[in-house]
Amino acid sequence: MPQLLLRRLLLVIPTFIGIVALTFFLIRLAPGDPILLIAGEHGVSAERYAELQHQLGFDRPIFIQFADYLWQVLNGNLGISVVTQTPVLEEFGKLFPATLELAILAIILAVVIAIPAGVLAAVKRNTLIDHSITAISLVGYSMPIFWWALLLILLFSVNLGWMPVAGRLNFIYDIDSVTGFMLIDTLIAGDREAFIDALYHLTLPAVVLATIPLAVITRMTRSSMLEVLKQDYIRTARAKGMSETSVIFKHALRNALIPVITVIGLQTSILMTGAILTETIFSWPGIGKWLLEAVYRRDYPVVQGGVLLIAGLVILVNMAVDVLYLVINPSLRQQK
Amino acid sequence: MANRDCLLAVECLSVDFETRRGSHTAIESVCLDVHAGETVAIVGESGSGKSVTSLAIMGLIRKPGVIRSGKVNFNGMDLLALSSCQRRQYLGRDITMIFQEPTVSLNPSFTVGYQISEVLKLHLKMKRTECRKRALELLHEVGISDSLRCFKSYPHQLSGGMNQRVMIAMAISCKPSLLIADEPTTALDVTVQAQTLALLRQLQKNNGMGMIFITHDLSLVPDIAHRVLVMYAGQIVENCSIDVLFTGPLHPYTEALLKSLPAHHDKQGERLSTITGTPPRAGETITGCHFHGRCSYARERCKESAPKLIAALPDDPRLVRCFYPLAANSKTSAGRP
Repeated sequence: MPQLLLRRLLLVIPTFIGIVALTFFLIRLAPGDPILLIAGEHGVSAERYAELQHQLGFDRPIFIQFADYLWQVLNGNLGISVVTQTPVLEEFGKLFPATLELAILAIILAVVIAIPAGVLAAVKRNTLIDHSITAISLVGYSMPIFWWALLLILLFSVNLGWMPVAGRLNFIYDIDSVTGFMLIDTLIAGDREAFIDALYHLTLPAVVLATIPLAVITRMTRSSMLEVLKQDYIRTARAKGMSETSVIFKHALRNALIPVITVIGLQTSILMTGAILTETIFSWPGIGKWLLEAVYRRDYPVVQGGVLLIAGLVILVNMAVDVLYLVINPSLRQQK
Repeated sequence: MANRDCLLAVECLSVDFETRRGSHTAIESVCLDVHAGETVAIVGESGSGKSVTSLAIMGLIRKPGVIRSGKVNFNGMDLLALSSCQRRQYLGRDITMIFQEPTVSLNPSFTVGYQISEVLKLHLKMKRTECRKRALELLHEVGISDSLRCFKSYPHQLSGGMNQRVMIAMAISCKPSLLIADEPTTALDVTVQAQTLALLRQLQKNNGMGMIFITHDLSLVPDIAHRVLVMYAGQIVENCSIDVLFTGPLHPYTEALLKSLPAHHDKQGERLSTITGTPPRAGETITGCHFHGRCSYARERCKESAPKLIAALPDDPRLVRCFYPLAANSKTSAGRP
């Protein structure tokens, strides 16, 4: 088992170099000049342009620039934002907790509902319950997310006035940022009302963000359970005199979860990379929105650094999934 | 024929499978008795209803299968009349079952030790340490020398033969009075097959349990069974003791099966005989005797009306579902002293 992990870890190195190269060259291939974009509509004189170009290092040959960037990255330096002049890592560190908080809540919401729903649909196969669950998850999967978000805002924020429209916390609360997770920070501050307010702010974006994973995980759980329930060992479990609950939740679900975990992992990494649409609609100060703006401004260091950090996260989640896989699926473990 | 003193008395058990194209009968009026300490073999080709019979006895028929009628009296109590919750008390404890493919019949996510312990915990309310001790004893009992290593193994780490031993250990863990073995040796190679048969025979003798041994391989039957039921197209066509089976089969189907055994084929250089045609397809309605289409002795009456499973001769315990039982017609072919 450690051997397998080590092999996976070694594979990370070429993956990272590939990602660095890809983002570095792709963003430079995109039309648009960062210096002109910084200068704004008044433009810039030729001398000032050359000066800025030299200052930012854009006048050097592209491969030298790349080698320099790679060296910087290997030393843990992701560069400084051209626009805000703050280090990329620092900006990321400030914004990521907001994205992570939302992503964790959304994935928990999705898993907690999707797995029981999928199991129920499989056990009650071809009944009204199964058809309803399948139909709802199909709708959830095919619905445009921005439209769904707007519908929810219209109903719960505008018409009913139950939920806030946007942001992470009402401005009347002044909470110190310790962890960056609003729910935890409000608890640390000991402000119960602020905690509830933060939870209210999280609810709609989390529901919107959970919708697609919810649908995907439900469908996967259902089909995986249907497959497992046909297996001979399920018949053996019944022949042993086990109750139907044990047969389904212990003998069947344990095996059915193997492919479901892959899907949960994939969905988690998608959510972690920042949901651009959801963050934009709810004015959520996360990395999805941050990256999108960086692309607009051709803020090369931010795009490169951001993509690299996100890639790192995806790799991390995948490794966690691999470990979980080994725990849940004994046949993958090294045979002694 | 329902004998209340038997360990197991199955009366007129019928199972239908309901499909979109209507329901079809998988087994029809199956009656069988198993006495304590007796091994009854059920023989028949694929699709003849052997496995359906065993699953119906266990109450494990699931949709689209439906038990249409019949009783399964176990120690004088009708299992089918019980609720599934009540029946579960007996499953795995008093009536147990082993299956054809041992490796896929064990859950790949749990160690075999855990899977044996589970039964002990469920039915005998044993504590964890007791379970472990007993499970190791059981593994030893079924002839696994390195029982500790086996206990900790997952099914994929063991061979098919080992897994079948594990299944057997699980099946005998609560000292059942009836063991149903559904083609337990079909997926195993020949040497392992012989070992498994020997093990089952020995356990059956030592524990005095009744056993139903299901197989499509007639040549295994004399090694293990006291009595044979031959099934064809969902019906029992012959029920006889093992020592008369090979010498004087009553039903033409039994005779044809025996003739197609290589071991009983003594004429050198002659083709091994086969049964022409194919068994009726699932859902096909057959009038008359189910075997008439392939029977070389079939007469007009066989096509029109269906024979019942009855005693062939007044003082003969053998039962046959045929209008013209072979040995009854020509006493000479019975060949019994």
